[in-house]
Amino acid sequence: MAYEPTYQSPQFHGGDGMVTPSGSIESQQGRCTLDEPVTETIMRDLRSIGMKLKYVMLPRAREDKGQGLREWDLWGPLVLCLALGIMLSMHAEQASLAFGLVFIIVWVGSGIVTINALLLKGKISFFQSVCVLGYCIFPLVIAAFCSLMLNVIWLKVIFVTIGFTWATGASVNFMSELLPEDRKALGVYPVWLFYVAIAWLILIS
Amino acid sequence: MALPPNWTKYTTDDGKEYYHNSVANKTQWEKPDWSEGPESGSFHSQSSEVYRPTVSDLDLQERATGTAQMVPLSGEEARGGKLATEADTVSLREAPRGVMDSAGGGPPPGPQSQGSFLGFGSMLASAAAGSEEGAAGVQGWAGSMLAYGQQLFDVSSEDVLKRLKLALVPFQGQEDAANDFRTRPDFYGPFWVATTAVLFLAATGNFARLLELEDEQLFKSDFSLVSVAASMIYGLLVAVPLAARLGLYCSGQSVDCINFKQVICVFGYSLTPLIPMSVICLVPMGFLRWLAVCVGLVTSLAFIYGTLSTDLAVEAPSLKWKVLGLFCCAHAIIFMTYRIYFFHSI
Repeated sequence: MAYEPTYQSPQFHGGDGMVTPSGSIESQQGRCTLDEPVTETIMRDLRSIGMKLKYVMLPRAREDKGQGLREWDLWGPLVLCLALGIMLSMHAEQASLAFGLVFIIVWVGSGIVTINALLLKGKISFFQSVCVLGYCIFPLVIAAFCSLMLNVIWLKVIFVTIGFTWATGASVNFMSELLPEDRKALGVYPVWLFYVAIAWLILIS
Repeated sequence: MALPPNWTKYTTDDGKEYYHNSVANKTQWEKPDWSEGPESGSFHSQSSEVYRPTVSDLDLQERATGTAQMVPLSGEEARGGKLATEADTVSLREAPRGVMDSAGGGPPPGPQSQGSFLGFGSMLASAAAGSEEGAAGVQGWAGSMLAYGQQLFDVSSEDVLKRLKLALVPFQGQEDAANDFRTRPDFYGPFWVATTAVLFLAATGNFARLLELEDEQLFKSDFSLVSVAASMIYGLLVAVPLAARLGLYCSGQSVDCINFKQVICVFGYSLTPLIPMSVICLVPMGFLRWLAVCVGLVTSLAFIYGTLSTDLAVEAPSLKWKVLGLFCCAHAIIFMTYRIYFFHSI
């Protein structure tokens, strides 16, 4: 007869909630998300995207350095990138090249800027940084929309400049906070270059 | 009550307790005495705790062998892991292999880095310090690649500014600048100078076409300039050092005799004159544009010659002129293509 130790069944105290005996997972707010209708799930994501877009537009984004974008998602940047690509390629001669260029510059560009900050020993998480850079394109998207309506070149320049300063405000603060002291300029310059490239694309079309 | 190692307590159906030794295969009714430990086959000490070597043990060992190593290494630690200059070349050349070895096996714990400081010299120390700081939380091959990349980006803002100024006005402070590129090449400058150059070339090409048209409404932007500029600059940035390496290999010499990180770094920084030159070329005067292109080309070549010629003469004297000639051709391609293709009307 063997001596068998007795042990208690382990209690799972995970990050988001506890596994209840019924098998459904409770979220932090106490709702049961598996049983809700599909429209409610979609609306929740859309509301979160809308909240983040509003957050980017407010001046508060510049002060607290992008903390409202802590829970990252990539749907918002995708929607903004598609909107920008469609707007810029609508009247262009080389429509497919323009659309492809917008896509490449937004996604590959934000990825490269993030990898650059990581290589400079910055303490950032990859996807949160891509999310912040993507959401901060929103002022430039608005500027592109306005310049699509008008054809006067000086108004276009003014709108794009305002959009560019607004976009760089929040994201530069976010990026410079997470870099070591002697390298802040090295990490911030690619962010600036990223938004200059997008602003140039908007001006050219 | 604790039992000696390998002893287990069992209970019979009647409720009596007996003890069994799994190693010696012995069963007895009496509770085993601690003095029976060594005979029952365990070779640990009397205490049942596992022996864990601590850093102080390594300290004592190293102090026994010699204290001369401690002084420069503690200074190393005080400077945050940066090494003395003569050790830098060694660590930079060998660090990639060191990083792959040390960080490939998982995250290095704290005492191990101190152990590496004391035991294995500067190579693993720099790799471990770099991988610990930067790759914390990133495991395995991604962590080791990140640590390797972080060594290539190990510059501060002043360093980069100094190198950019040198690339634009290459006639000052040649010797220590050449040493600087040899001991601490970085890839931040080459990559971002190349990217900025691509953007500026495409932007100025398009803008110049806009200025040349009388009617602004007729302007159709030419996005193909971006792809041409990008493929030209990035392609040459990668292809020229590769071609030099191939030339070395074909000529039978050892491929490692030229420091290719230094070559890529210098070539990347030599693209800096493209940026002010492209801004000057916005002015629609043919003569001014040709002048700007020639001045830019001469500046780039002077910078390359100043920083690389002495090193190439030492490392691969037979190939020095061939490698320099290769750089000349690459730069001539970039500048001439820009001047002729990007600006249709002179």
